[in-house]
Amino acid sequence: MGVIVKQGGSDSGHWLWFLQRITGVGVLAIIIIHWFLQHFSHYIAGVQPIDYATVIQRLTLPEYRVLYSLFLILALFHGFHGLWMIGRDYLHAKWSQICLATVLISVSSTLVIWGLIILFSPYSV
Amino acid sequence: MDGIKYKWMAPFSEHFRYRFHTGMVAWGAHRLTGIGIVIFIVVHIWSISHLGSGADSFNTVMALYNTPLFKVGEIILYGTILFHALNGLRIISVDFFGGARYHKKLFWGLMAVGVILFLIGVWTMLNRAIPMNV
Repeated sequence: MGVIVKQGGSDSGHWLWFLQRITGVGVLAIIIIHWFLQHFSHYIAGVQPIDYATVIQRLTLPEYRVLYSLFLILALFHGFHGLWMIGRDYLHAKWSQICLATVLISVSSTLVIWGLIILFSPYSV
Repeated sequence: MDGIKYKWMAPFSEHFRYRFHTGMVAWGAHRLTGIGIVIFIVVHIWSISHLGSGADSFNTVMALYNTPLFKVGEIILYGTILFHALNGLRIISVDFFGGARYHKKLFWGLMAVGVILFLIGVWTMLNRAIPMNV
């Protein structure tokens, strides 16, 4: 009664709110591929345990590297933007929101770079 | 229909996007599962980073996935992601496809689908999946 129910994340921009939905769908599509690849690829490729040799061999495929780079970036954006939306609901002071945003952007960027280094490093077979 | 049914809800009014009780529980669970999945992703990147330390190091970490504790963890992870994904689809339907009119039915419908997918998924993961390491 007379209480304004705030809808969506209008102060961080409508496009961020929209991106959260888009990345969610993208992550879901890739996670389904990931699930089948990790647990059931033996139906097409024969039994290959998910060990060092298998993973290194998969990483030689550019498609695999591109897919997993996309997975990494979309999932981390979705996850850390989600944490931002949660945090923003509890931190009302401007300075605390800036601190949170700084931490979340730093940590997620570091994780993206770390993940890309793992994906694109040259490995000895 | 106002979102605030009871006085005690007033301080939390901005959180009630879906206005009904089912929506509140779903909203809270979506956030909790989301936080859990982010924590998992960080641990997951760390475990995969062992590729850089060579075959022995990586295979030792991957062997953990075959222990009973990790099997249980894997099943919990599957259920957590399944819930987050299905409820996420409901959020999208509410935001883009007028799902607010039937979001409650949609929630329970999707949860029923979720239970079926969970049981099928767990059974196949335990019985048909490749070992993580041999």
